[in-house]
Amino acid sequence: MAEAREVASNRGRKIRRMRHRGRSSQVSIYLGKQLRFFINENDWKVLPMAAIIAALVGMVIRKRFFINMEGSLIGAFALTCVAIWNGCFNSIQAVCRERPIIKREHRSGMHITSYVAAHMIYQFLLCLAQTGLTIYVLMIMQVRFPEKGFITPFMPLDIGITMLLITYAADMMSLFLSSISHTTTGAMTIMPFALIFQLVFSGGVIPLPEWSQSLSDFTISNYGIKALASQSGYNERPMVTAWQTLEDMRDDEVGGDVTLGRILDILDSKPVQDRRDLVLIDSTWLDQTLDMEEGTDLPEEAADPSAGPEAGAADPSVSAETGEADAAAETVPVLTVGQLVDSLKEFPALQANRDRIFTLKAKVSDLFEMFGEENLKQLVQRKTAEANYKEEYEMSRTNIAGNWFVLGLYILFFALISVIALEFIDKDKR
Amino acid sequence: MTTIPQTILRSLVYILLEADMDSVYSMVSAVLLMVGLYGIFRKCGLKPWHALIPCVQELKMGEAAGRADEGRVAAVMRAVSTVLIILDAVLELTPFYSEDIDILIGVASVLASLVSMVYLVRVYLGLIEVFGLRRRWVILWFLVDWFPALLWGWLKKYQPLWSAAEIKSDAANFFSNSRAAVLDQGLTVNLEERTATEFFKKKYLLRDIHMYIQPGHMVLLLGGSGAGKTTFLNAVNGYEPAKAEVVMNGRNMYKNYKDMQYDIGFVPQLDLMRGSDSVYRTLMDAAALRLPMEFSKEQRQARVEEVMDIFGLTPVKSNLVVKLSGGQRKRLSIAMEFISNPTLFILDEPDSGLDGVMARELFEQLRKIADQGKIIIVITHTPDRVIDLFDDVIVLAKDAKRTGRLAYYGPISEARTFFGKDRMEEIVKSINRTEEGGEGRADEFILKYAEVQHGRSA
Repeated sequence: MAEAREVASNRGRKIRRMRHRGRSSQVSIYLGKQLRFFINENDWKVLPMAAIIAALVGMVIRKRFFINMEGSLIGAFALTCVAIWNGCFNSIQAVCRERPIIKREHRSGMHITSYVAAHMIYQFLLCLAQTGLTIYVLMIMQVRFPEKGFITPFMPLDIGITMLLITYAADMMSLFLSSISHTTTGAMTIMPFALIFQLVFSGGVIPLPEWSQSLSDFTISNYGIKALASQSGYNERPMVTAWQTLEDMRDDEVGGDVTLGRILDILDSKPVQDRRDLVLIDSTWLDQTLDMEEGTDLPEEAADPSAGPEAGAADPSVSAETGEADAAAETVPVLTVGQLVDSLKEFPALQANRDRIFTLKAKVSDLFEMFGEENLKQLVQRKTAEANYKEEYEMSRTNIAGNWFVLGLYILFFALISVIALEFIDKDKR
Repeated sequence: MTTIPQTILRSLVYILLEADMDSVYSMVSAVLLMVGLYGIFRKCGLKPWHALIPCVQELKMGEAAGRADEGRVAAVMRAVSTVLIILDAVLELTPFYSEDIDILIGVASVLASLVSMVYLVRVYLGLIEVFGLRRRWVILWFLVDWFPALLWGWLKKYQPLWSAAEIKSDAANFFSNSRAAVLDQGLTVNLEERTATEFFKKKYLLRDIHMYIQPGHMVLLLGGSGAGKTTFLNAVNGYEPAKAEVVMNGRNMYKNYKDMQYDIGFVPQLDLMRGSDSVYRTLMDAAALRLPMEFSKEQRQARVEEVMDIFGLTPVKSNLVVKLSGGQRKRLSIAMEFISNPTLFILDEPDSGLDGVMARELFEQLRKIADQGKIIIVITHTPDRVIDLFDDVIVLAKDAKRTGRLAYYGPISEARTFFGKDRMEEIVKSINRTEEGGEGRADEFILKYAEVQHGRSA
C-alpha cells in the first residue's frame, strides 16, 4: 500500500514522500481500459463466436446428452472442448499484444497485481457472458436438460457453473501463456500445444497409454469432463453401443458346423458344471402345466423316483398330499441341469454318434426372438453400462464440488503464475 | 606392445573395412570440417586447435562470425544432443531401459539437434558476412559444411574482412575512474559498470561513465547502434540499475527509486499507448497513475487540460489514439510522461517518424520545458536540424571489446573541436566501426576523453 510519511533524505532534509495510487485503486483504471478495449477493439466478437460454437456442438450432442452413457461422456467432452476453446481464445493475446505498453506503465508505477486482477475481473465477465450464451443456445437447440438440478435447483445452472469454471480456468491458463509470450505470434504458436495437451490428455474419451495416464491429472479438461459427466448422470444411464451393434447385425447369420462330441464336451465344461443345481423344471410349474394340459404325460425322468435325491423329493404324489395351500411353499425341483447333463452323457446313442456333424445356423434376429428382444436389449445395455461404470463420474455432490474446487484452484494457480511471469517483464530483451 | 600409431592404423582399417558407408562418410566429413575450420580460425585470429574439439567448434565459429550468442546456443544444443545419445546407449544396457524412454530421449535429441542446426545457420550467415561473400553460400554450408570450410580455410582467395581476434587496445583497458561531483542540484552519474550474463558469460555493456548534468540543460545523447544508449538511460533512471551512483538533486536515485520514479519521465522510442482509449482518457489514466493521491479528480482534470494545451492536443481530445497522426501520437506519448512534471525527462528518439518541421516544433517545446529548470536527455539520429536547441552532448561508443564507453561529454561547441567535425552526424560516423560504414575511431576518442578526464581528476 502506498504510504504517506515524512522521510529523511541522505542530506538531512525532510522530503515529503508522495502517496500514489495503491494496488486496489489501480484495478479500476485497468478494468476501464479492458472494457473500452471490448467496445473499441472488437473484443466483443468472442460472444457471437461462442454462440456459433455452442450451436454446432448442440447439433451433435442434443439427442444423446443426458440420454445414454456414451452420449453423456461425448457431451461432457464436447462441452469441455467448447469451454476450453472459448477460454483460450479470450485471453491468449490479451497480455502479449500490449507487452511493451505494460512495460512502460510498470515503469510509471503500475502494479502487476492490479493489472492481472483487472484482467481476472474482465475475463470473468467475458466467460460468464459466453457461458450464459452457450447454455441458452444449447437450450434452444433442445438439448434435453433434466428439469431438476443436482446442486442448484436448475440443471442448466449446474452445468453452467461447471462450464464457467472450465472456461475461466482455460482463460487464466491462456492469460499465463500470453504473459510469458513476447509477441502475439509466439502466443499463437504455443496455444495449439496447450489445446492439444488439454484435449488429448483429458483422459475422458481418448484412451491413454499407462505411462501418460497421470498427465491427465494436470489438465483442466480432466476435471471438467469429470464434473460434466457426473452431472449428466453418466453412471445412471444405459450404454447403447453394444446393443446398437447387435441391432446392426440383425440380418447376419451366426453359427457353423459342430460335432455332437463337441456339444457333449460342452456339458462337461465348468460353466455348465457350476450350474448343476439349477432347477429347469420344478413341481409348481409341473402342476400348473398339468392342470392346463390334462392328459399330458409326465416326463420319464421326472416321474422316476430313482433319478436322484432331488428328483425323489420332487415326487408329485408328495406334493398332492400336502394340499393346494402349501403347494407354493413346498416347491421341489423336478429336473435340474445336473440331472439333464448326466442323462445326456449316459445316453449310448449320443456317445456312439460323437463324430456326427451338425450345421447350426441362425439369424441374429432369430436369437432376439428366441430370448425376447426387449429383455435382451435391457440386459445388454445394463451389463455393458455396469462394465463401464466409473467411480470418478459418480453423481454425488462431493464429487461435483470436488471437481469445481480443483478448477477453482487452477484459476488461482494460473493467475498467480501470470503475476510472477509479468513481474519479470523488466528483464525483457530490448 | 601396441603403439599409438598402430592403434590408429587398426582403427582406420576397421572403419574402412567394417563400418558402413554412412559412418565412414560421417567420420571423414567431420575430420575434413575440423581441417577446414582450423584454417578459418587461424585466418580469423582465433586459436586454430579449437577446431578439433566438437562443441567448442560451434562456439568459436560463432566468435569468428561475430555471432557469439548464436554460436553458444548451437554448441550447447549439440552438446545436449550428444549427451542424450550417449545416455540412451548407456540406458540400453541397464534394466531401466524401456521403449518409451528410448522414444522420449530420441525426440529430445532430435529437438536439440534441430535447434542447434537453426542457430548454426545463423552462424554461417555471420561467417559469410565476415568473409564478404554471397548469402547463397549458406546452402553449401548447410549441406556439406566441410567443403566451404576447406575452401575458406585454406585458399588465399578467401580472406575475412575483419578479424574476430581481441584487439590489444589501449582504450579498452584504460579507465579514467574520475568520479563526477555530487551536488545539491542537477544530475550526477558515476557509472562504474553495467554487466549482463548470457550463457554463464559476463558481458560488459557499459563501463566508466562519469558526468554531472546541470539543471535546465537539454542534453543530446549520441552513439552508433549497439553503443548502449538505451542501456545507459535505463541505468540513469534506475529502471535497470548498474554498478553506479546516480544522484538527482542530492538524492540517490537507486536508494530512493520507489519515490523518485515519478520524478522521471521516460518517453520510449515507440508510441506505446492503447489505441482503444481516447486522448483525454489516456491522459487521465496517466495522471491517475503518476500524480500523487493528494491530487483531487478536479486537479487531475485541470492538469490534463493544461498538458493538452501545451502539446496541442486539445482539438483531438475525444479522438481515439488509433486515429491520431504520427505527430499527434508522439506528442501524446510525451504528454503522458510530462503529466507528473518530472525533474528528469528522458526521450528515446522522439522525432522518429516526424518530418523536419514537426520535429523542430517538438524540440522547441522540449527546450521550453528545459528552460523551466528540468534536465532533458534526448536520443536522436537526426540531431543537426535541432542542434542549436541543445546545451550539451554525450557521445557513447563501443570500444574494441564491444563495451559502451564515454567518448565525450560536454558543450556542443567543444564537441566539434574535440572530434574535429562540424556536424553531429559526422561525429557518429567517426566513432562507428568500419564495417558499419564508419571511420572506426571509437577507441581513439574513448582513450582521448578518458585521458582528459583522468587529467582533470588528477
